[in-house]
Amino acid sequence: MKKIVDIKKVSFNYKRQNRLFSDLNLELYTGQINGLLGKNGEGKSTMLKLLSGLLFPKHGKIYVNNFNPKFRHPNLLKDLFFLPEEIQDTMLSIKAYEMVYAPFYPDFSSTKFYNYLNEFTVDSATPSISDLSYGQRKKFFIAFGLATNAKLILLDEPTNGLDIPSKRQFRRMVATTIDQKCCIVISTHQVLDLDELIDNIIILDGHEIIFNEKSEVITQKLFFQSTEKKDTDKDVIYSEETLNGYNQIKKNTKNEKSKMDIEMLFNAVVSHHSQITNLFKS
Amino acid sequence: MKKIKDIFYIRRVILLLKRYFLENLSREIMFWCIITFIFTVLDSRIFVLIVLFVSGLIYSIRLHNDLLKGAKGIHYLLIPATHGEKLVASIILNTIYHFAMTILAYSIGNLLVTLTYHYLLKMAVPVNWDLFQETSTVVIDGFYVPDVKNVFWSVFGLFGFSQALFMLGSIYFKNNIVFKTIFSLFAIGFVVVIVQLVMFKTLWHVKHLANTILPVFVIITDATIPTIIKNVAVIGSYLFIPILWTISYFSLTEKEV
Repeated sequence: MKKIVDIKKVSFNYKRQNRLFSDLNLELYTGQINGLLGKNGEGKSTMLKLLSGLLFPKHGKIYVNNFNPKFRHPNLLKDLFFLPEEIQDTMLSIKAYEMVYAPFYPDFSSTKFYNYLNEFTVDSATPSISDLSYGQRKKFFIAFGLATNAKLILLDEPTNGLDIPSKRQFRRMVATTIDQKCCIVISTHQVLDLDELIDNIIILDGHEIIFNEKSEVITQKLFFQSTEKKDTDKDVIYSEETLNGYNQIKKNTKNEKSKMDIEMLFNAVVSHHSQITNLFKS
Repeated sequence: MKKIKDIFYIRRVILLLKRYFLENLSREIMFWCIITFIFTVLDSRIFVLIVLFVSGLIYSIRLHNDLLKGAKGIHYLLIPATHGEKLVASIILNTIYHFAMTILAYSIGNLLVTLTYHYLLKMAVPVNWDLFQETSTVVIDGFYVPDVKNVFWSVFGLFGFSQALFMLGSIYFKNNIVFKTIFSLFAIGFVVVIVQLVMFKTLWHVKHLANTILPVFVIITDATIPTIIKNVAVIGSYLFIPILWTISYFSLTEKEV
């Protein structure tokens, strides 16, 4: 694993607006799929834009693959792919798009690209990308992004607009793409879409990173359970009522295995931040 | 992992141009057909120059507005090419290409008119190739003689200046580009004129200067101004274009989306 993103004491605010980030620190490594979670307006998209050099920090330093993204150096950009939430419209056909843009990415794999398109059931003979539906277009850009073999892939709300089978295909494709040279950051508020995909969970709340832990560490420290009756054990950290009973998170004192529920974890971290932070510190 | 050239690489400029033409092919064909048609109807020299400058201005603004806003802006700024390569591709498109295409459209339009008159109406209408010829009258030995000057480079220079100016405006300003660019031009021009006038008056005690708005067009008539200053002023006026390109380059490097 190699450090690919290093954010050091970064502060940022938009013009004539209050500070969005203050002294933000974050390190990301290759070989990981990172889930960037947070409520609307917490700065998830802003963070991805800072990483890709579309916005510049007011203070602090950002390094991506040892480059300062601010300079948008071509040797950084060839290894960086950012899929924004709002995708562009283009009159090009899929083949023409590949012909125009693939030469900018020396590690682009045409075979992978058409395999991904096939998997996503996007017709590569479509005369114009603008003729595709929003979801189809999104799938096209995801396929192109993954085929660039970029070291850092930033996906902002990638599952927005995708139908249920496509969301499953997306998870499978991302899982097969990741290797020891690549790092993927997926920003989303639809946490269920990332189930069983994420290696590392980063939660933004109050414009701060309040949680940044690996999935395996989370399941080592926390036990996720669904019960009919409310468990009143002192180790229970978080509990939410459901139609069938209760979903709860408790300290994993017995080193039991459980399936992580990202949505419940997110709610627990946001509402019981200090308790969970202390548990992970210990 | 393959490393790519990180300094100016002409192949990437060609790829950027190819990208533009493939993405805008139908729009380009439509636009130049309309311009050619307009030139078949109205082919007065002044009108052609007005079309050249106005369409150039719109073209320059549209090109950059399209590229630097929203999803398109994100996509454009993240294309793995240097800012210099992106700027050169834009300069080629909005200055050289637009200028060449306008001349081509004018020539085709003119030729079409001549051919139509010749074959359909059996009338001889000469082809106008005088787009860059300026005719004035001079008096030689008491006779009025027409003096024809080729003003190609002057027109191209002025067009290049206008395109460079609005390219900078469209990169620098987010909205109301035309208004803000023209306003900035006048504001800066006014300050420069004042500084210039003060300099001429205090340093060289000049009393006669041609009345022009922009300092670039100031015609120095007073013989008391040293020749070197006159030459610097002339060379300086040509330098405006690369200066504007350089500022555009730095504005592009500082562009956030």
